[in-house]
Amino acid sequence: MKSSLNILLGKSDNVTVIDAYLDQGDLDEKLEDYFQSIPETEQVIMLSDLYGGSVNQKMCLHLTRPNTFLIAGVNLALVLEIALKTEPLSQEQLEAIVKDSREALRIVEIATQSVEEDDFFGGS
Amino acid sequence: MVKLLRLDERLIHGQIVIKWSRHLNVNRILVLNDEAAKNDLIKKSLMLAAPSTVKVAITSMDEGIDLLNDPRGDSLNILVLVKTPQDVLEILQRVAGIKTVNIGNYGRVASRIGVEPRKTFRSNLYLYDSEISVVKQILETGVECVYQTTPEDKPESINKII
Repeated sequence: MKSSLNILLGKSDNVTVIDAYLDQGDLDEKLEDYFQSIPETEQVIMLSDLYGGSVNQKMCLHLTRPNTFLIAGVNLALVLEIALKTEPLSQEQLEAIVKDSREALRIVEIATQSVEEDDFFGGS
Repeated sequence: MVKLLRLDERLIHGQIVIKWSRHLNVNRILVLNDEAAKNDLIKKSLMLAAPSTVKVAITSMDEGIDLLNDPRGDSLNILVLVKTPQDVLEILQRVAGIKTVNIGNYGRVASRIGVEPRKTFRSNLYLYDSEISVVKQILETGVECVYQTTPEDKPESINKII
């Protein structure tokens, strides 16, 4: 996930990746350090893999911070969509992004894909 | 008008969809590639990647060059994608008014000639001597030609790289 982000986003400093359980470092501490480093007024959107999983549980504890969100069931489409935003997002905008990202999780049906090309110059 | 003519051996992919099409605010992507144009499976897989806000055409070189020379394209913002330096050169020779060529990714997946690997110029640019001479011909047309994989990367003049 991290290397895909590097390839697609280039140098992007608004995404922080925190590894959980890959080393002996304590996740609570890492999260704490992270939040310490972020100005209070800044929006934080936490992303976790498994809804209800242990990482998700630990992240939940930080939801008491103002302007902080947690989205579980992360996929690359979701991370990219959020990482490309430069302004803080509203609840409604986040819901729309989550909805779109769900669309990206799908069985690929190449047979139904159309190769019909309509007029290249038509439309806007 | 052509916003950018890009050499990218992967044609439509993540960097194009996520970065370039937004950065350039294009409303058309035109892929010129003879192999893709006659293979429905390649076409379909490229179409899967295409952003929903942009109209995409995948054509042969000849058909694509006709589209690029059509005055109806003047009011559109078109991103043109090709897979080889030779195709870049051919477009420049047959289409007037293209100001910028962007070299994004080339030489990592392009099929090898023989067993020799290409010479490395940048992390996303590898060329054979024969391809260097094509790139030099591209430069001789007077077009501005830069190496830049994503919009965040600093563009580098190709004549300083090769």
